[in-house]
Amino acid sequence: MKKLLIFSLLCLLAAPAVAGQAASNTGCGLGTVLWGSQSDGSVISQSLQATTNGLFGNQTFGITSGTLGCDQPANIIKNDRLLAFTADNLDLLARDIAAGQGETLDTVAELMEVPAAERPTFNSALQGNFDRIFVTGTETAGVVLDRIAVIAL
Amino acid sequence: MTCGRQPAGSRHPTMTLTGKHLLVSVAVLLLLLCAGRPGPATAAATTVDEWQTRALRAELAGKRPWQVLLHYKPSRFGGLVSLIDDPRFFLAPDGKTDPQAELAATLTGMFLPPDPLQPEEHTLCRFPARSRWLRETLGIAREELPEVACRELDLALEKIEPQRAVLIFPGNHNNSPASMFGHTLIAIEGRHESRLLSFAVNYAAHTDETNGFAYAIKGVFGLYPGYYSLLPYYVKVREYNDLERRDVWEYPLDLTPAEVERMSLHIWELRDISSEYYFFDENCSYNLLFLLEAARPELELTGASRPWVIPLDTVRTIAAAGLIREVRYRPSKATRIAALAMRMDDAETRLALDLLADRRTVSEVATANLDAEAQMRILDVAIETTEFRYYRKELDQTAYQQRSLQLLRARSLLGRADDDYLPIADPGRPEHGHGSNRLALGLGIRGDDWYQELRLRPAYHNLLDADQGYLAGSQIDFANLVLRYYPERRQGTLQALDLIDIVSLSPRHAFFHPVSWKMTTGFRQRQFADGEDHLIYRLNPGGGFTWGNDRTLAYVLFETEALLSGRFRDSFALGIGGTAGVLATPLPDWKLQVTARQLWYELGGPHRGLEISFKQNWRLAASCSVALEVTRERIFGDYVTDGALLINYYW
Repeated sequence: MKKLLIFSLLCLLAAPAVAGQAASNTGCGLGTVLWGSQSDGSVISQSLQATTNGLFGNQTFGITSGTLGCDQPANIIKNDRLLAFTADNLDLLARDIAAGQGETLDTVAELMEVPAAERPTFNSALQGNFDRIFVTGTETAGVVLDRIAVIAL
Repeated sequence: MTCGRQPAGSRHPTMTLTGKHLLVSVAVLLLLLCAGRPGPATAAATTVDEWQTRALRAELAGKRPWQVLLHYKPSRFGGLVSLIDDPRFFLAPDGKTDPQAELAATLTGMFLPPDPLQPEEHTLCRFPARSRWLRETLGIAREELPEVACRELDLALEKIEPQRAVLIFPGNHNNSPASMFGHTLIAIEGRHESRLLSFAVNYAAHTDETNGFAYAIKGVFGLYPGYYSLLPYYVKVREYNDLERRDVWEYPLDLTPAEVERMSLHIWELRDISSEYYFFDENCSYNLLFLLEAARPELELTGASRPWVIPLDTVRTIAAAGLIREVRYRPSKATRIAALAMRMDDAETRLALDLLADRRTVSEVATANLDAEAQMRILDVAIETTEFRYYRKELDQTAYQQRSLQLLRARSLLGRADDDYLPIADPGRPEHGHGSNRLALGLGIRGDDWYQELRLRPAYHNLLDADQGYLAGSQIDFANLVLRYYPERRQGTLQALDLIDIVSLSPRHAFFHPVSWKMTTGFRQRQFADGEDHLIYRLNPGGGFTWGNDRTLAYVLFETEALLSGRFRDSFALGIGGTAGVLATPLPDWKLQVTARQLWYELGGPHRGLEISFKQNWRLAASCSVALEVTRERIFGDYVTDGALLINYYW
């Protein structure tokens, strides 16, 4: 009983010290996580983390994107901001296209200069062609945008 | 001043420099600097010395905009001192404490020819808000200043296109000491329609610390450098909304585009500038107030009336200054999943769990004889949960891509959901909830003795306080002081000083299995074998599970407790046990809590402790409530009942 007691007390006190270690992501396409090293699942891991409001590395003035490493220069779409936004939000874009609506999809439509009146058609055209836009799940943002352009514009 | 004494408006050719040209260039530069070469200036050009005299005569260094832009505050030792610690923020060696010297150095710097090696370091590029204010206030014509190409600044402004500013308040998050009290940042919106395309300005401690407690402790003593940062707003939205379970409130601020531009120029001045980050006062929220003052110097927001600054209080400060008219609510992913889970019946939940566990395939969802909305719910919950599992490293990237692609493909065949597919109730404006200071006055009886009680809690939120603006099921009480007076005995006592009393009750549902925990430490009166109360020190951590929803939470916590007092056999007692409780909100203004707690103290001073309690709190107004608490305890074999009726005042 005494041992158990001491052990459990120690466990409870020591728990915060084993905060989850982040693993780095590799590869391109869906799941290329925006916050990279911070994605250790603090949502559910419940470890007492300091990460949330803190700054990491050289993140101080990031006007440009950090996840553009995957893209080759052979794309039709040349709008830097569109490419950066899509690269950083690829998973959310896939979800919005599958759902036929959403803030990320609206943002992409705005950056592609799709007029407001044509957005419903744009959205449903993309939803109807989801499996032509995301075939393997490893598509880069540039490829996804090119396919969107071919389907909807 | 020797080299700066040259006619205004002199121009210098821009030079591209490579290795061996360097010396020549420097020589040319020196020549240009010192030769006093007359430029194409007008005959009536004012020299920098004359501007200095005018600035001195107008007492510009004492003017509010200057003090705001340099973050000057009255010093404890008289005079002024800037809250910025980084020497690179000042042009004068004693700029941190001498506003006039700093102003003179800035004026001088504005008139200096740009250094061809570092044109971006010119005062006009590095401190654009300061120089613009001086230029406008003194009436210095643009042509009188040297022509400097601030390419980095121009590029940043072009990207940001400052038009509107929005105050962002991500709610609190109990499982991270860094964000226990919530957070505030400012989003600068450009000409885009999508809010995701704005840029977020954030003041935060710079650290790679992942241990929350070390972070908290170092933070209290200002051991981290604080930096302002600028990032795409969608990065922050995903961090708060997706990665953590924090709802976000957005308050568009009543500032003009010119004011927002001024703010942006000041943010540029703060780029890569560090100041000591203090958790309680010079923290994220306090430092953001300077940005608002820079936008509109007539605003007085940083004259803090309390020795600590809580993000929600700064929202109130900004609202009181008349800058807030509306609020937009952005529920977190966890809130959305919980809302989805609530709307799913047992059959749907089972199907979604089977899908996630590979017991059934996506095609079986389509053939399960469910309507389209039910199928959407199942797939949506599975999509979100799959992503969570990926973040937790339970899936590798390839497995995640294949799984989510399957689910998304099936989802795309169901069409678009109706607008009422997932209604999420707006939890109310956080700044209209209770204030974080609480004063309670009351009457009670312990055993046969009447007492009067006074409680004072400087921060932040108790399980029994109304939840508006706070996370349901989360308690963060700091330095709760309880004083009692027993009139019959003419005896006053320190009943309790709960230094830290944190409880995080996170409900579990089919798709989300968080852990609940508590941590309490402080001084407290406790009954001993002699039948009398004595002051002890206690440390009481615990962990367990919670079920239910925002209206009713049932929980079980396994606990250990260390008590320190000279009256124990070995001056301490170490116990193990637990608590079971129910926290309910039967009516929006009414909260009640019933708990049973049993601890077995086996080491140090062996004894048992059992406590049954009933507590309720009725909100009369945002700032006022009535509490009734009854506790029955059995310690060292003796029973004692304690009941109290209290009025709470929040501010």
